[in-house]
Amino acid sequence: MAAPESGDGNNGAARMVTLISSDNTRFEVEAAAASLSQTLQLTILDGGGGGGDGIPLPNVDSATLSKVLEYCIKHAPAAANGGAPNATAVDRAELERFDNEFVNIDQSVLYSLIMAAHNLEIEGLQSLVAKKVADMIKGKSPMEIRRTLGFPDPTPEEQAEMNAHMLEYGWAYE
Amino acid sequence: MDRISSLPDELLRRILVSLHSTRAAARTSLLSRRWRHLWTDLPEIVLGSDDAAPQPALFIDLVDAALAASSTTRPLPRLEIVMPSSSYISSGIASSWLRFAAQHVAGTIDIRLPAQDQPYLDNISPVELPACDRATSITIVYGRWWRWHPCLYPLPGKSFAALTRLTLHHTRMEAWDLETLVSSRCPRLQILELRSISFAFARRPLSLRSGSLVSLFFYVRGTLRLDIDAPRLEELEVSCDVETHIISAPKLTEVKRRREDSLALNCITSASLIKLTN
Repeated sequence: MAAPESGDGNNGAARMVTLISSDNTRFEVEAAAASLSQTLQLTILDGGGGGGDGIPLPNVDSATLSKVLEYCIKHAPAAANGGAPNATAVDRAELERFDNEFVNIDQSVLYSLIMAAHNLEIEGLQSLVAKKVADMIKGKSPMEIRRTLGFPDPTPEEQAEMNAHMLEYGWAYE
Repeated sequence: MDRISSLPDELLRRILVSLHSTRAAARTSLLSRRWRHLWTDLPEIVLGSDDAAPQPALFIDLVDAALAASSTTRPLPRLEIVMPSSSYISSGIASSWLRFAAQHVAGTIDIRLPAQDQPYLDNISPVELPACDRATSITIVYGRWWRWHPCLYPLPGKSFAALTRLTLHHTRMEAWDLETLVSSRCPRLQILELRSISFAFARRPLSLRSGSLVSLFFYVRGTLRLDIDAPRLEELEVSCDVETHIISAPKLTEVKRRREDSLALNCITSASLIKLTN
């Protein structure tokens, strides 16, 4: 778990980088974990993020960034093994358990996460959140989807439009 | 308030793709005006494999409606249609789906059709396969072999210029059409998988020439002899009853021979290896 830390928490050989959220919280994390982000990887390869500099992430707030880093730290060892072709079944099961629990969160956090994963280009996290939201939609009627996703009740006008539309899209509902 | 609508279209589409069901994606078109056309512009059309499948009789209408409503302004990376096993499809409709695929798919075409277990009149005509010049992988599979299956007929025309993988199961073809398809119309074909293929007419020797083929799985009934000229071929599996003549395949070290059970669904029942002696 990545908690905000001061700049000099390097307690091993692993290279550390500092990330700065939009609300100016500093996160120190292993370069290998941060490099799950394609965007950050380039900066880190160029030697950025070390020392007192830090990499500013103006689009990601500290709550979201802490969650993103939790994912990256957990997935970094497997990613370092090149997608973990030689990972044991136990390791994979553990990652799966982590993933399932990780996305068991409030919808608004899910959307912040998928935006951050998109901006930071973290492919695995994008897929994970997209799948979670898809699972919330799957097998539901349009009204159930509206309720699940927190859409306001349709106005009479919208309702009429929906009914007409539903006739046209009968094949999707039968 | 629905916070999901704060996401850009690109991410909403990504969520819809994760449904792996065009039908489920289309249901979101009712959420609001903004969602109305999002589903029509996804990189894949997936019908039937998942989601609560509709009644078999309605399935054809469902596919036709979904194909008609999908945006076709951009090439489609993937088209997947899996028909319910207890349904029936005429040659004409199967041909129309393949026409859509040929026109729009730049990527994978995967069409799984049910076994045709009765001599329907409209299956006397062949299922027509137009040249799919942007498809990289084509799979056409019938549920299991049945003698009433219509013949698959590759229409003359352009080449299958991008095709690297072709998989046909439980299909009937003309020997001549198969030879021409592989030998002169698929310049990039690397993997050819033919399982439970039967020829429409008499038993005859078959000759395959290909400068690109790497793997060949050859289970074609009624073939007496197979002549192969494929300089890049590395992997070859043939059914036991086919006499195999390698004209040229310098990279090939062994031929795997298996017996294809005439009734079993998954046709492989035994395996034996014969070292090539040349």
